[in-house]
Amino acid sequence: MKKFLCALLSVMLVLSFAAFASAEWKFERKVTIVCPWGVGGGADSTLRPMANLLKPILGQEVEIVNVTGGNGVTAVEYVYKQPADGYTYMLGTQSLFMQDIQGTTSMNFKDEFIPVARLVHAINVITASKKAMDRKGYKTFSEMIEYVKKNPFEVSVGMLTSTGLDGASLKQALEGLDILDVSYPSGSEMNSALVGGHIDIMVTGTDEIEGLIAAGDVVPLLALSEKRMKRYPDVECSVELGINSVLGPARGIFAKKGTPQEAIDVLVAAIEKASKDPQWQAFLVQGCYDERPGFAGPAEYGADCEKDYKLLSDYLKSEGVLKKDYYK
Amino acid sequence: MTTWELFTNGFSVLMDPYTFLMVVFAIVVGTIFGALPGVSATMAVALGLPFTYSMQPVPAIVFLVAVYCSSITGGSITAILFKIPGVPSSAPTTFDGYPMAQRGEAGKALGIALGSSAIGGLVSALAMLTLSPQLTQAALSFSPSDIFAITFMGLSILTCLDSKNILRTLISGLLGLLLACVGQDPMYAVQRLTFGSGELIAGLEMIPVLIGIFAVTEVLKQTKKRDKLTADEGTASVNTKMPSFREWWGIKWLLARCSVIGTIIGILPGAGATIASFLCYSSETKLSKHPEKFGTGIIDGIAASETANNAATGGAMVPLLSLGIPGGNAAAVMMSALVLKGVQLGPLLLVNQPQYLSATFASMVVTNILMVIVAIAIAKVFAQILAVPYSYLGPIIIMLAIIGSYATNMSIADVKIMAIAGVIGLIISACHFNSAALILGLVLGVICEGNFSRAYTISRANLVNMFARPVAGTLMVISLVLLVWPILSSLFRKNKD
Amino acid sequence: MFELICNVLLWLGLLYSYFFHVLEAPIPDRTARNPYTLKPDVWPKAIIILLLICIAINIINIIRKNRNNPDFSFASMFNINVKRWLGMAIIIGASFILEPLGYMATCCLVLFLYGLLLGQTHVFRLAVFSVVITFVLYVVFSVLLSVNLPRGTVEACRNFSLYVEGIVASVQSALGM
Repeated sequence: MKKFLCALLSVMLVLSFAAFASAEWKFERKVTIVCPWGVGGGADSTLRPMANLLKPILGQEVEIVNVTGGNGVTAVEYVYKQPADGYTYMLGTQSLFMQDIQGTTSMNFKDEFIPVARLVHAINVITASKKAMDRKGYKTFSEMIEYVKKNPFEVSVGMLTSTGLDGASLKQALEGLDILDVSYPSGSEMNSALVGGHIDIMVTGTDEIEGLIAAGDVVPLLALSEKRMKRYPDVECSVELGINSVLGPARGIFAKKGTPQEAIDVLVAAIEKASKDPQWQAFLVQGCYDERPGFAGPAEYGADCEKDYKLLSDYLKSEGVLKKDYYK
Repeated sequence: MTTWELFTNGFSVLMDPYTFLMVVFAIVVGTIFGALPGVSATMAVALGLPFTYSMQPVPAIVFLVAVYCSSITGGSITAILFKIPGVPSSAPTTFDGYPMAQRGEAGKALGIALGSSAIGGLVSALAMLTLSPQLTQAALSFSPSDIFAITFMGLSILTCLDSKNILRTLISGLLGLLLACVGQDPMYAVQRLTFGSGELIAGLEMIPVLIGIFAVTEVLKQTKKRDKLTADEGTASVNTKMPSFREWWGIKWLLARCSVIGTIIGILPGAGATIASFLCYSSETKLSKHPEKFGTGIIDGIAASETANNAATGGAMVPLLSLGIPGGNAAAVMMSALVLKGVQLGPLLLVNQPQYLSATFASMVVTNILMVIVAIAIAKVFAQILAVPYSYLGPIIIMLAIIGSYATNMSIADVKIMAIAGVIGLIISACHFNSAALILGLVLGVICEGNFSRAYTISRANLVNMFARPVAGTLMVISLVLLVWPILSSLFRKNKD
Repeated sequence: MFELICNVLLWLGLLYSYFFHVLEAPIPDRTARNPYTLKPDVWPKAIIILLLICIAINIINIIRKNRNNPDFSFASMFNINVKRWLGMAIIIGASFILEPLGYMATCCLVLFLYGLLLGQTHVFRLAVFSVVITFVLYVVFSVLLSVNLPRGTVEACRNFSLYVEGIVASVQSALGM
């Protein structure tokens, strides 16, 4: 009986696929987007409002599944095992690229996954602890650099794993300076260490520490971007100081290779529509994601990913930990 | 605003009948979620998120806090009845709770667990309301070396967990520490001890190992040659006799100590309820007049672990509300709920909008009191399951273990780790190693190594500078004494013999 | 005896890990250059050395204690419960078939086989029980707690799960949830 039912069902599935292959794609059951990081983190908080906006547009439930662990590798493996039927997608950032080229994923992420659309593109900021600043007596980024040059290995810098995106960003910005790298497993531990003055500066996105900056416990020193940030017009940006470092976390949707193009097209159109929604715009302002253009379609996002892949490969190569070289 | 104004202001939020009903609802679902293995407190709060989409920010946080507190409590129900910790922070509750349930004293064990949970929760809520600014400053002044010293002290108590078997307990603890190193190291993402297995890159999650070593090993131990009794009858009749006032009075200082320690550990970002309950359990073993009774089913063990993990809930809310830095994963979920609603978190929140603090306080008070009644009712339903013949119950526990370890990360690798941990649990007991010590090592390992490494870098590789701080220095001296004394004294005793 | 063998194996395994598996990837250059960082191999190596010492003492203790023990022989090793072995096999087997067969089939099988192992004699009742409990757990975890239980990679199992999910979704929309 069960066998018969299954057979019947598969026949029906095949027929329905055949019927829709030519016409425009229509999602028929819930769509799953896998988030490689935990509930409440930056990635998750970006994805949830987007999923809420996508629901009415797609006419189907959009479900967020948090598959955490291994700096995102567990999620990549999970999605890789799902069939590419257009119902499973995942959120990705440059951290996944770094795991890929460090050889921790079982497949080549770059070849097996395709960028679908970018949701947000944040700016990394170098911020300093007010307590430590008062103790060491520097007030601006340039003064801090002077201080580091005079006192090698005195200034400690917090980041989330030193072979992650933050590490790459930092290496570009503070090339050749003798600093103490201190890695933290979570943003909250790092933020409280910075406020408490146990570390001197850190590299991070601005979304989680806006309140601390407003209260004056944390002072932004340098925005790693092309232009000064709208919300901190007095803070210098890296390009104006001649520092070539504009790397910032970009969060986008990825699909497994082989996903029906029609499904991707419908999804991209839906994301584009949702990102014009005033609710999403308000979210961007609130999360400090309005400094750079957020939404980008497959072509533009794909090109950006390619660029970041190259840049990060070079970085890891210089650190001697590159395992997969796509640019041999 | 004065404390009294804060107090009345908070309860006025709960006077709204809709909010109050939602809190009651939160307590019921929170307790059930907590009791189900694999649904951690963080997951329970995340599952509560959709309900808050239509709420105002203050009722939303009130609702989520209620889910959080009650799920931490709910975890003790399955820990006591089935040896499956419903939430990881209830793991130490199984050490004494399960033996009590097996003796037919499940009612007393549950009574102690729920009562001490409420006490821990209330004390920490009060601390949060009155001492938030001071507690925040204290938490901020903790440097990595201080945090390392705290966890190291927790580890040094290892030697006291089983005074007759110091060497084997020490080996178990060290094995736990080593297991915590498996996978990509947290600092530089370098793979260690994975033996080339891609499934171990993510490291050993605590939950599958816990479920394997506790629940699965227990079922395997029960899998004996045909035993008429276990096949046809329930394991134990459930006695619902509650603990007496005298028993409560006997553990009053323990409750006070664990409430304070739990609150402080809860404030530290990166620590949290699980570490709080493990640390309190092991330190109470040390302080007790009869340490040998711990692990055989005494109320002190249950009270220590449950007071501490609920006290940590109040602690976790302190940095979230006063700094905008979540004190743990569950608090991070609450933070995302507030951020979605456009609340600007940070040090200015308490100055400009103190009603967040007062409403959270009121919610914690109401939850911790109502929770006892709700949880007793739910525990009675769960206890009925114990009357099911073991040939039905055993397989269900195995299945719950499988789902529970899968659900945390949607990872098949975790299920395999759980199964292997179950087998290893048997080997551990055959070799007279101590599974509690192993888990303690695993739980504290990551935080211990990470903070040691950070402190080492910050103090520029100078161990003397590293511990030349009041908190870190004192704790390190105490820990070294704790660690060395039992070993020395056992050597002396041997020499005398 | 079993204890002794376990300890010896553990000791040898740790020794092997110490030399070959503590670091399985290179350390980033910047970390290696910085004189003030704790290299990622220091901590695990320190623990392994402590373990090697402790386990060695433990082995000596075991041998010394059992020197005059007549039961201390290889024969006592095999005095192990067959049922327990089967139990381990079922649990480990379940963790391996969970991915291909998915939740439904695995759960039914585990409940049924382990029930038999624990001495349940009413086979038919047990079979019904397995199906019912599979269904109950599915409703609790998958429907109410929205845990995505594995659908399975074998075509038939996957389609069956999708079919059940379809029914659940239509029931939910009918109830207006």
